[in-house]
Formats: sequence, structure tokens, C-alpha cells
Amino acid sequence: MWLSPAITLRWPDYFKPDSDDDAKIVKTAIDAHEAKLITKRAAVQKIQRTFGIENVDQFLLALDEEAAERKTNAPAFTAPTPQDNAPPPVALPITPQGAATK
Amino acid sequence: MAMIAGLSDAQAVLRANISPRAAHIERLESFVEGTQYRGMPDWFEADVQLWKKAPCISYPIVKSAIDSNTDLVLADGRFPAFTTHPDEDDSIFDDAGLNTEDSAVMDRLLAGISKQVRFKSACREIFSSAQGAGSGVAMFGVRAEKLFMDSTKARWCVPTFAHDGSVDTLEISYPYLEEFRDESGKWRVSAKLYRRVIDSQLDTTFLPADANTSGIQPIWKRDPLQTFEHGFGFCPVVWYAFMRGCSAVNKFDGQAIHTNYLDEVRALDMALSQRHRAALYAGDPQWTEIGVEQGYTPTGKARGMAMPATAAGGVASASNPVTSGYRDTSRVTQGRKKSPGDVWQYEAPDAKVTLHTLPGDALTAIDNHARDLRIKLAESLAVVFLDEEHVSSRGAVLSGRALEALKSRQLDRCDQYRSDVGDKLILPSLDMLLRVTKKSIESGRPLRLAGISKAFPILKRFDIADEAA
Repeated sequence: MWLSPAITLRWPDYFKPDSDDDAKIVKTAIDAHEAKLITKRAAVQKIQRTFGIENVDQFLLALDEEAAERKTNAPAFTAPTPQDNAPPPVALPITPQGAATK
Repeated sequence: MAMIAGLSDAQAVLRANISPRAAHIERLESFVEGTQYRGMPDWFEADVQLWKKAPCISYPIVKSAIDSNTDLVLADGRFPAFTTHPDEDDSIFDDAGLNTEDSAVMDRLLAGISKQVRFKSACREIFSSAQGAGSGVAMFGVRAEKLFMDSTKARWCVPTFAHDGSVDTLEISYPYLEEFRDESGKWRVSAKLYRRVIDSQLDTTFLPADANTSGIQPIWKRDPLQTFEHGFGFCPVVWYAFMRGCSAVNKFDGQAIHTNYLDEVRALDMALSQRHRAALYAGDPQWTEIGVEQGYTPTGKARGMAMPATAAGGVASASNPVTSGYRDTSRVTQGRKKSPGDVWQYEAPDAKVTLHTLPGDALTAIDNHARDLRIKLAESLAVVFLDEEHVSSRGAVLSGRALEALKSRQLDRCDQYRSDVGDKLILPSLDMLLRVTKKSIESGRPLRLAGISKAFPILKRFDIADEAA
């Protein structure tokens, strides 16, 4: 007897959203995630079609790897020097003749 | 064809060998093809009652609806992706379930099979014909070391079913006309019968046989050149009954989209034909003259129409001079000149000349009637036609959301079609292709298919008998 393998059909949208629709979807996902209303997974699922993400799990892993890589490559923290604490230079007004005045 | 000897007899024999079911489906299909009025008196025939005439315009609203549905459900970019879920490990809770690696292998195999059998276009073709005929049929096998997925007309097919609803046997038979030369070399035509039977072991085509008016079946003889043993152990056929719903046990056909609207389609064609005839008859401005003597011409006599003849035929030129010509002399006395320089002048003081033209609203009533019928038919068929004026009033480009809103009625119906075609055609066909693949490899039949060596051990797991062995 043949047992059919579990095959699932994924039907796409009837009409592709335009760029404005895509922008709204992405913004909604970011806002909801930043407001801690949805998980990162839910946010990725929301934008899955917009960016053609085939596998959400793999995509989340890739995001984590990228984040870890960024952390590794970030410059090491150093104590601020006295120059760092100096006030920023003040721009001097220019006279009509072109000479700077104080 | 009309003059060929034996045609009327052969057509009578042909009709005697068409079953009522096949005739019904043929009628449904004729409304898709626009041939439903064939054989009826011409629309411009004078001595025939209006309702008995064949409308001169056969508006293809059913075909347009079918095409639109097929575009929305199965067009490129809308065809469903199919997967065994490589992101899920089903082997944890199901012995026959696939782990992530096996799922990835199966997905690659499905992609290869789909490409080899032109799966998308085959499904589109079957879905379209099922909408018009009520049913569609898909046949599978291996030909020239490749998988194939074929189809044929549902009206020629009679399936029988197993308890689980799968096809047990499929018989394809139909009468047809064959032209041939008799002993004297004269062309004749006769009615023949075609028959092919596919079951769990054999695909048998029989030699063409003579049809007769009694409809009694001939003694069939196998055609050895077109008969072969596939040996799958199951009938490699999927029967797709379009939106069948609940129906009697002996009914295996689905419901064509226009089954209940044939009268309305004809009414629309009649209205369009009436409008067309009215526009033709009354649309050509007609002069009338009152108080003018019969035969009086208000201009000089016009020359009759002349057709020059040239040396080499065609248009006259320097290298192709006019050699002679043909002049229509029959209407010279009645012709009159018509040009800006030719003023029509009448001597009779009470002469009245009128040019009758069609008023702007002359066809409005029949036009509104035709539009109303078209709208009602579109509603019944659950299809939304985006007419040019409809779209242009909303700007040159409609966004996806706007199109969804405009076509919401049709999309709601297409959601049902997606479930129907997905569950009853696409998934069973993919399953059948996997079974055919497995059986073919198993029986040592050559099959060129990418990824099959890795996938075969996985396929074997779906056959319980194999596992038990």
C-alpha cells in the first residue's frame, strides 16, 4: 500500500503588492517588534514574502550569525582621552572680505 | 467535405455512437469554443423565427471567464509552490515522516519531476478543460526514458473507481469520421470507433473498428503496436471532477462553470446580434427624395464603376500598363455624382431631400439590455472583467491592493478553486508521479531523472509492502 508523502502547497498572493505596500509591511513589522509586541520570528514571517525568504529558521540563524559577526568586528572600547572631552571647535563667521573674525 | 460520398450516413452512425453524457459535455464545451449555434439557420435568414436563428455574434464570455480563472489560480507567479517541509523534522513523531535532509532530497526530486513533465502547463490545461467540461483527466507514465503527464477530453473517458476513490480503470473511446478512397479512387467517408483502456497492469489500444447505427460494440482486437504492459500495479490516472460537491453515486463528473447559464449566454448573444444587425441596417445613412420625378438625377450622369485590366495584373504602373478594362454599364442611368463640386439641384419647387441618419440613442435600449445581461452573467460566473474604461478611470496603473479590491468577488471564488484543484488535481498528480517514478526504477525501466538515486530509498519507505518485505 502506498502512503502518500506529506506535500504541502503554498499559494502566493493573487497580486504582487507594490513598493508602497511593501514599505508599509516592513514598517509594521519593525514597529511591532521594537514595541516588543511580536517576536523576531513573527517579524521575519511578516516580511517573508517581501524579501523572498524561503526558510524562516535559516534566515533567523543567518541574522544571529551576522549580529555576532558585527559584535566581533566592532572596535574595542578604549577610555576617553582628554582630547575627546575637549569642546567641539566653534565655526567662525566669515566677513564679506573673506577674513575670519572672532 | 459537404460533397464527400457517404457523409450523411457516416454522421448518423457517428451520432448513434455518442453517449448522452458525451453529448451533454460536448454541448457544454461548444459554449466555450463558440460553436454552440452550429447547424441553426443563419441570423440574416428572413423566413425563420427569431428564436430559431443562430446569433451572428457568439461572445466568448465563458472562455473569457475560464481563462481569467486559470490565470488567477495557476498562472506563472501564482502557481503554488509544493514542499515536503525541509524546515521540519517529521521523523520525530511519524515513522514514515521525513527528516530535514530527506525532505530536501524529496523537494529536489519534485522540482525535477515537475520540470520533466511540464507540470504547470499540464495542470493549467486540465484545470481549464475541467471548468468547461466539468471534468479533467491526467494520465501518467514513462515514455522514452522520461516521465510524462498527458491529458485527453473528459467526454471520451469513462473511469471506474476503487473504494478509496482512486481510478481503477479508464476507458477512452469515441467515434470519428475517416476519409478514404474506394476501389474506384473516389473519396468516401465512414464512421470508425477508437478505444483504449488503461488499468493497473496494461495500457491497451484497440485497432480502429467500423461503427454502426445500432451502436453495438464491435469485436475489438488489440493493436499490438500500441499496447504495452506498464505493470505499475495501479491505474496511473487522476480523475479531476471540477467542484463536484455532493452528487449521485453514479455521477463522476464535476460541474462546469456555465452549466446552469446556457440560456443566459444565448440571450446575450441574441442581444448582441440584434444590436449588430440594427447598426448594420440602420447605420448606413439613407437618402429620400419627395416631390421628385422617378429617375430624375440632380447632377450630371455619373460614370459607371470601371475596373482597369493591366498587362501583368494588379495595380497599374509605368511598367504594368492598363491594357483594357471592365465598365459597369448597368447603373449609369441611376448613378449620380457625389463630391464637394457636384451640387444637387432640383427644378421642382416642392422637392424635399432628406438624409436619414441613426440618432445617437437609437441603439441605447438594446445596448443597455446587452450590458445588463453581460453583468448578470459575469456575476453568475463569479468573474470580474476589468474593462478598459473601468481601469482607465482609476489611473494608468492599478496597485495590487486596488486590483484585489476590484476583483474580490472572483478572488473569493478562486479561493475555492485553489482548494479544489490543489486537493483533487495537483497533490494527487504529484503523488502519482512519485509512485510511477518509484515503480519504474524498481522494475528496472530506464528513467532519466535528476536526483533519483538519492531519492529512491526515501520513496521506498512510502510503500508499506516494501517495508514489510
